[in-house]
This record gives sequence, structure tokens and C-alpha cells, in this order.
Amino acid sequence: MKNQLSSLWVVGVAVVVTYIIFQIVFHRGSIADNVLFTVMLWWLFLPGVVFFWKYDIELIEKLVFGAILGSTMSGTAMYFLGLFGVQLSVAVYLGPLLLSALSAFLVYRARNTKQAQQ
Amino acid sequence: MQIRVVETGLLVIFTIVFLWLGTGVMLDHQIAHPFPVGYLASDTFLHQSTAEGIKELGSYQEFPPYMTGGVENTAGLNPPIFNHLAAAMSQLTGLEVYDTMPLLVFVFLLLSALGMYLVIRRYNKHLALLALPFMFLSYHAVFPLGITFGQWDFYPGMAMFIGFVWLLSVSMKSKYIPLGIFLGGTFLTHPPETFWIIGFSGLYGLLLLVQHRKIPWKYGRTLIYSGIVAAAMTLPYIHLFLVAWLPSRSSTVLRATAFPTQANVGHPIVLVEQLGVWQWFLYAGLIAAVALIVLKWKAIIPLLFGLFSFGIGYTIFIGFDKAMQYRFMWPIALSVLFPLAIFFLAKIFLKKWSILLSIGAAVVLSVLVVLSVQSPLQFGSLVDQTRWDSIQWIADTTPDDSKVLFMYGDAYEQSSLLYNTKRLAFFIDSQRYVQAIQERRISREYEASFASPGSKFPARTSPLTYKIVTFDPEVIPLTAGIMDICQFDYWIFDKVSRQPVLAQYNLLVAQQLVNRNATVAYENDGVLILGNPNPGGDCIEESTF
Repeated sequence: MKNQLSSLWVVGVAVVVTYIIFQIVFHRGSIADNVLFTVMLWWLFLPGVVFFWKYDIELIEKLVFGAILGSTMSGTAMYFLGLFGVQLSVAVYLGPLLLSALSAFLVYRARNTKQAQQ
Repeated sequence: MQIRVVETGLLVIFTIVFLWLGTGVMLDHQIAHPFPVGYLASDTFLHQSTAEGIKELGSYQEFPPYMTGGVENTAGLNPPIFNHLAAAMSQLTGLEVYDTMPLLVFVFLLLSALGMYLVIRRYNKHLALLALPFMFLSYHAVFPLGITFGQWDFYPGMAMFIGFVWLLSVSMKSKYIPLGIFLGGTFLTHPPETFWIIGFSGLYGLLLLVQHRKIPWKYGRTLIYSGIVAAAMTLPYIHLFLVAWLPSRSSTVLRATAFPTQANVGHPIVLVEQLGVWQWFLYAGLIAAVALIVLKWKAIIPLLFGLFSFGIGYTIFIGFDKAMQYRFMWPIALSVLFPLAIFFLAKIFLKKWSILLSIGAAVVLSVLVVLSVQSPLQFGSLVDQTRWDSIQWIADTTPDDSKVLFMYGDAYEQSSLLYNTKRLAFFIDSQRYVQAIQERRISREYEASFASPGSKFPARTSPLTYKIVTFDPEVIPLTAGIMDICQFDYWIFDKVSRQPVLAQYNLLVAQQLVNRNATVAYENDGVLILGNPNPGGDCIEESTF
């Protein structure tokens, strides 16, 4: 439980740092636009970050490659949900959510299997 | 711990400067804009309108009919991932699709840069730090024109390629899953990167074979598993690609040319000479990389990736016409090569090379590289507020089946812009228009073209079968050629132009139309839209002036 909380804390810091970077780069825009853009960007990245979270790689690798993987997964999920008739307005939440859950399941199952083997 | 904090700080500063020089400058340091900014070529609007269509229709089951000449139930053909991400960000944030798209391009460019840093870092931390400054060359000379010319799918595709390369150097359980997602992802984003991944994987396998003097079965097995994952996630699109995309394209996919030009590749040509003084660092690095790999016969992933990326840029001469596009990414893909020779030379003299020294050198190099950058990026667009407002007026106000004709405008021959009217849009051929001015005549017939991403579309006949259809001749009797302007429901005239004589002629034609019952439907400072009360009738008196 403590580990999971610290994981959340790190993701939270990454989101805040991203927001600060956007606020500096897009200083002529509104704060609300920057906040929304940051949060929603990480929402689309989430499945990949979850997937890499428990692997023994550097934190920055989890975030950067998790972002690339997550956007690939989210984009694919939304495309297929659309082909099956799910509207984009729903798929933007459902796609990343489903794949984050699937990633968490795969990662924790792999971890438990490893622990059982040990 | 302190070194890590300094490194993290350096990466944060790198990110800020990298975004500032790119998206910050191009988008005037704002996320939201009242009209599309940074759109300087037709392809930019092709992506934007595709994503807009996905958002509007709620899925990519079909292309919006206004992009297919009114043909309905045609499958969405363009690779879907990037278009979906832009549409999703618009849906989630309330920003316009035209704002989220260029922002995402820069996000993926940044992720590619940071990803490349991490790929190199797994091999050598010093080299990774020294490679970072050269990534700022992404904004030098013609290198950023891939962005302004709308090669947008390429950037997320490259980020996935770099992700794939990174995974090859990582030891982890079930690696084939993310490898497969990256492989399949490239096909759903920008298929040329799929072929680059396959080529790189083969080359890497070959080096493993040479290095270990035995067949790398484990590596091969991982690749096969990842291929299965990729096939599973792309199968419906591969099917669509093979039975619909390829037959609907008249141009060839493979096209060798000994003399690539902007006309035959569709975007500015990138040459290694455009790196200026930094090209010499690259040449030295190329030699050093070859030497390191050949002497040690080790599959050093970042060096191999650098050499591979350099080589890919020249495969246009054997038929890969997307090779020129790959060169836009050279400042990032080749970043490991720039400091390579100097780093190893310097190490001969400096026995103790600390991380702090590398960080200091990276900062100095960054300043030098940034000072040398001559960026063509600036705040600008093909459209301004008046033109965008008029296009929005057409989309919001006119009947769905309206046919609209754009008389001369500086931007309208970049025809993908016109999909935003969400109507059947035609545009005047400017050369013939100029000819009419020279002949001092006002005519009922002008040469014009229909704005469409193609002329053949896959209409779905069942969930898995398609037939190629083209425009209904009753709706679009002619896609390009001499047209009777009286057939249109609306005419759009630009009142101002970079060439004032064309705008003046526009207004002369407009006056002749008004003299024969055309009505002013919409007007602002830059644009006049006339409505035709009797489409197909006698709308204009031909005359000379």
C-alpha cells in the first residue's frame, strides 16, 4: 500500500512538472488551458506508464517510454472502440481506462508469478 | 543522488528550451487560438480535417462525406492513431482539433528526443548528455519544415520506433508485448516506420549473430512473438490497407529517384550540408561509429541506430520515397554521432571524465548549438481570422449539399484547407485566372478543381469487404477542368491578396455576379461570399474591361 502511494506521488509530481513546463512555454495562454492539456495528456499516457511501472527500469524511462506506449495504446483502443460503435466522447475515457486496467492486471500477475516462483 | 538531481534539472531545462524554440515560437506561446496557427501546407489541413471528421462523426468507421465528394459509407483510410489522439485531446480539453494537432506533434518530437537520450544513456551517460545539445538542430534550417509541411504522422511513428529500439536494449519479462505494441503502433500511425523497424531488427540480429557466432534464437523468438502481438492489433487495418488503401491509390508506394526535388517528394529536401559547421562533427562520428562497431563487433544499439538512420536517408535512390522524410529526424536520430569522435578523442587526454564535466560541456554545447540555429519557424498560417471566419460561416450556415467555389485566394490552392467548409468545395486554378486578367475578360467559365484527398474510395459492402467507388457524376461531373461557375451555390472572393491585382479582379467578377441577382450572403474585412439564387441559370454577363 505504501509503495502504491509513493507511486501515485511520483506520477503526481510528473504531472505538476509537466504543467509548470507548459505554463512557462505557453505563458501567453490561459492557466485553465494548460492545466487541462497537461492532465488529459497524462490520461492518454496512463496505460503505458502503468504497464512499465513495476519493471526494473529507471523512473524517467517509465515516464518517457510509458508516455509513448500509452499514447499508442490509447489511440489504438479508441480506434477499435469506434469501429465497434462506441462514440469518441465515451471512448476517450473508456479506452485509456480499459487499457490501464489491463496493463495493471498483466504487470501485477507477472509480478505475483515471479514472487510465487521465488 | 546530487548528480541525479542535476541531471533531472538539466533535462527539465532542455525540455523547456526545446518546446520554447519549437511549439512556443510557432504557436505564439499559447495553447488555444481563434484560427489554425502553424498550418503552412495542404497536408496540415488534411490531418486536421481527418481528426475533425473523427470527432464530428464520433468514430473512424467512415470518412466524412464532404471529403469524398459526397460518397457515403466509405471507410476511414488514413492511419488512425495520431488522428484519434488529436480528436481525443480536443474532446477531453475542449480545445479545437486544429490546436491539439500541432501541440501533439511537438509532444512526440520531444518524446523522441528524450527517448533517444535514454537509448544512448543505457550505453554511455556522458555521450547521452553530450548528444542532447545537437537535438536543438531539429529547429535549424529545413529540419523543422517537416512540421510546417504537415508530415505529422511521421513524428509519433518515430517516437514509437525509438521506443522499440530502447526496448531492444532492456531486459524485461514479456518484452514482446510492448515491442509488439510499438511495432503495430507504427503501422497504425505511419507505416514506413514499420518497415524501418523490421530493417533495424534484422540488422541488429545480424550483428548479434556475428558477435556471438551463433543464431540468436531468443532474440528471434521475441521478435516473432512481438510480430504476433502487432498483427493482432493491426489486422483489421492491414486488411483495409491491402484491399482498399493500396487499390485506391494511383501513385506507387515505392518510387526511386536519382534527383529528389520538393516536387517529387512533396516537401523540402533535407541535405546533410544544411547542418552547417555541425556536419563535420557528424562525419567524424560516422567514422568513429563504424570503427567502434567493426573493431569490437558489438551490437551497440545507439551507434547502430545512428548509422541505420543515416543510411535510411539515402534509400530514396533505391526506391523508398519516404527516406527523405526520415531526414527531418536526423538531428535526433543521429544525435549520438555528433559528439562521438570528440568524446573519445577528449578521453585520451582527460583520464578522469566526470558526469559533472559532461553536464558542463552539454550546457556549453547547447548554448553554441542554439546560437547557431537559424529557425524558419514563426507564428503564422495559411489562413487569417477573416478567412477562417468565412470558412466557418459556410460550415455552419449553408445547406449540407451546397457546392461552393473559391475564387482566387492566396491559400485556397492548398486545397485540404477547404475540407473545413464541410461542403463540396472547388477552387479556381490561379494560372488560368491570371490569364483571364491578362486578356482583360470576365467569363462564365474558369478552370477549377474539386478539393478532395483522392478520387477513389473504399465503400463498405460488408464488415470485411469493400468496393472501390468514385464520385457520383451527377454530384461531381468534373473534378478538374473548365467549369461553368453558374452551377455553384456560393462563390467566395478574397478582397485582399499578396497580389492586389488578383483581389481587384475578384471584386470585378463579384460585381458582375451581383449585377445578375447574386446576393451578398456574408462579408467581413477580408472575404466576400455571394449566394447564387438560381444555380445552373444565367448568373453572369461575359464582358471585357
